[in-house]
Amino acid sequence: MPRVFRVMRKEPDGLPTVSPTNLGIRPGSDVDLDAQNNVLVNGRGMSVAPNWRVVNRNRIPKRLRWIVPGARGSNNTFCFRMGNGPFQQGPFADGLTLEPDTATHGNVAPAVVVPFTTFEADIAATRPDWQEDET
Amino acid sequence: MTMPPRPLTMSPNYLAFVRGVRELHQLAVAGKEDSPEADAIRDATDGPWEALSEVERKRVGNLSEDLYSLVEPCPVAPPMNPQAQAKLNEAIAAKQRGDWDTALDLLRSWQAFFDPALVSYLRGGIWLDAGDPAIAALFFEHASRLKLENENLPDLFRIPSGEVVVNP
Repeated sequence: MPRVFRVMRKEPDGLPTVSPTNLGIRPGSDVDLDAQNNVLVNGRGMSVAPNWRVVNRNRIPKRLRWIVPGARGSNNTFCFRMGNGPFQQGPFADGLTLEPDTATHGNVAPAVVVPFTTFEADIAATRPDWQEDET
Repeated sequence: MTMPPRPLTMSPNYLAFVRGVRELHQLAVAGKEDSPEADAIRDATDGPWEALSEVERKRVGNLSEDLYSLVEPCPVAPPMNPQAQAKLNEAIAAKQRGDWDTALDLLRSWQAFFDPALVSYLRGGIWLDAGDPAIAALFFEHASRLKLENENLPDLFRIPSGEVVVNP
């Protein structure tokens, strides 16, 4: 499984918050839907990066400025990691694939055309596999 | 005949990202960096960020870091020493030849030795000449405010070409 990072808010159990802007997707912004509300398989999905240091600096929590100068993200968010393999196209989790579009960015996308609610549920199901990692 | 230094080439994505940094800075000044408005700005800068080159990413990151100096307490600079003076002169020389990133990097690396008003004044001048008057205004305003708060500061606003008078 590819190693990916994403900056998200977290719940008291230390795992990421499931919501459209945390562990989740925003219809329209992150994915394209067909008339039946199915998610198109076109490489779009939930944004991830191969390392938290290459994420948009406006998202990296400000407390990490000593590592990444100019970081301007909320200190209420945290860098999470999932997986340990190379950042390359392939299976990511049940029903999900990683689709890198550059060396520093990719999307967790549906493996096949599925209803939007199924895609949401597949992403939410990965919640236990994310670990906070700001090293 | 020497050509005047060329301003930075600023792509639409670079300009969009810098606008986001400036807006987040202004929200931070207002104590709203954890607001929905701030999150919306972060969302809007994801696309531009992905389109930036490595050089642009470093430049906007350093700009963002420099903007923190406008809101954080100003450290008391130790007495100027010859090495710091030499670096200050290097920074001014880099500005004069249009090597904007080097000028800003030198100021950032040695800022602990310089008066904060002088640093902001020079940053303002660099950004003005580099073609970003909106960012320049933020630094000039800071330099002006610090100077008004401390009448004992030297006249920072009449720096002879190639020479900085730090002690009055």
